[in-house]
Amino acid sequence: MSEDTIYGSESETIEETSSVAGQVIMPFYLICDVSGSMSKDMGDLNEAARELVDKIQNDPVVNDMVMLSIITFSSSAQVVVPLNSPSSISLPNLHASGATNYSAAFTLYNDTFERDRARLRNERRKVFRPCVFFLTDGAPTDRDHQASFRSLFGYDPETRQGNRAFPYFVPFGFRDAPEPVIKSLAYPDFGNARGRWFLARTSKVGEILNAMAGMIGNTVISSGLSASGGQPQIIAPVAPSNSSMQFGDAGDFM
Amino acid sequence: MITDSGHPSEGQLDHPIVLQDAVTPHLVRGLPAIGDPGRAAGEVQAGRPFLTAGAPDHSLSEFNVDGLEIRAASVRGLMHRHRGQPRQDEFSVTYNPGQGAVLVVVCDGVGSLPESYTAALLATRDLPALYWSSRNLVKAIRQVNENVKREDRGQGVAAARLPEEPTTADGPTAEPDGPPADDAPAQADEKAHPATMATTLTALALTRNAHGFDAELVWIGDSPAWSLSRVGKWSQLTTTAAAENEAAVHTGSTSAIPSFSVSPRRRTFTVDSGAIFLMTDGVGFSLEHAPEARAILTAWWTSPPYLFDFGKQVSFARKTQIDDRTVVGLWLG
Repeated sequence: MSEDTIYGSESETIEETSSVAGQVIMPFYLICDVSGSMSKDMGDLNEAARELVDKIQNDPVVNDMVMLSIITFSSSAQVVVPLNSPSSISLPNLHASGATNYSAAFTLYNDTFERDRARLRNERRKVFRPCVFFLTDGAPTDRDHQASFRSLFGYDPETRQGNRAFPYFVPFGFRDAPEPVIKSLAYPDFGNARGRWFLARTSKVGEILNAMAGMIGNTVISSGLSASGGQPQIIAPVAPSNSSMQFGDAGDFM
Repeated sequence: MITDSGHPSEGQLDHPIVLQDAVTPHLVRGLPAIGDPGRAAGEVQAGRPFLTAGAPDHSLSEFNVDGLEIRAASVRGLMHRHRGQPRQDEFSVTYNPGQGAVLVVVCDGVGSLPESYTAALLATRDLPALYWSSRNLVKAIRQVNENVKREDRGQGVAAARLPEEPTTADGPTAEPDGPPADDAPAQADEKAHPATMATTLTALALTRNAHGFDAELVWIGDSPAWSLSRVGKWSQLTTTAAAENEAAVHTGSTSAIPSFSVSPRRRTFTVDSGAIFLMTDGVGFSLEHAPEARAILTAWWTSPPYLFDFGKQVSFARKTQIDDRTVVGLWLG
């Protein structure tokens, strides 16, 4: 079933959307740093992305319940894989160059999700809260990333002000990614299901990317399985037991 | 035709849906597919049996009484097969000849809690006896709530006692639907005992009158009741959850028992034709949100089907709709 925007006569539109009306979807977005410092790691990153998609595709239930999108960022951001069922995804080869503009990534994700959600709702599908995995190897080169993050995603459960469709945001930092920056991106920082952050300092980047992809895949699968039973929840990622990765839950943010 | 009684409950919402042309569904492993069946319907296997004997995978019942044709089916969803877990839906259909009344109960165990089938089974088993002895559905549900709560805490429950002789049909007594008084020690006790089970509960009592039936519908949670007129028009009898804000996302949350403060919703009406269906949201969700599903269910259920066809119909394949399914249909002759 094509996920593309439907054009044509009204009767065609009704017929096309009727077969998907009422479907429930858990959307996952993978935002990858492809700045210049990642140049030597692109082989590992491309391989990890392929294994991630393969792992999710292999589970027929999860493949039905989730949709994946991949956004890359350096000096600017781009959607390299539009939101789609895992078995319908065609992975491009990712390339690295440029700076590390966090704000561009946040802004593009937010705009992309709003368009995706509008499209899915137009098709009469039910959209669960999105989950974002953010991979970066370095500090942001833009100065206002905190303000961007806050203004785009912040939600106050007391006053109900802000973005009610805020994402469950999981940052994965490695190599030169600053610890306070990575910690500050874990979201939400309220409620029972707080965002979680991960930080790795090993020089074996290939292993790190592989481990991160495995963790992301397990989260997607576990969360997808919870959604289909009518009680959706994001199952927080867990670091492998033999991993030296640091991790923690979101603290005070707003 | 359904006619509401004098004082409809809060949040009454009629949701009439016009009959559309039905599309003959294709089959996926012997089951009819409505729209895109997804991969799960064709790939998830039956799975191995459990270590201990428990609820059957599927349950079917068929009755006719007092001009009512009744079909009931409860089937294990693909999700529970995939995860090696048992069905968590349950239903019961009982009849009291002395009162000329039928009671239907449908329960959907909350999937995130491991013992929720026990809650669903207790509720569907205990509510009829409690109702027949009191003829007060809200009161009976509150007692069921306490029974499930005790079971959840490992204290077990005494079997509900059946009335020794049929009682006369003197109708239900009115009772405020408000919650019981606050009890801080009980609330603290709730927090000390993490829940292992919970279930929705929807109950319909039909009592014969001169022209059809008096109906009392009471519900907690999101297992809906629908009516289907003879001309194929669906109307939702249970109120839906508050409409989601356009800026929010779907959550799938529901209220359930056991609860510290149980406040079931209630509606009374009379009915003289057509059919009424109690169901869990495994079917209710598609009925409410998918016009294609509504059209096909209309074609199937305008009249009572053969029982084993009904079971297959309740099990229809549709992408992402892989929860357990339970439907009890009552057709008025």
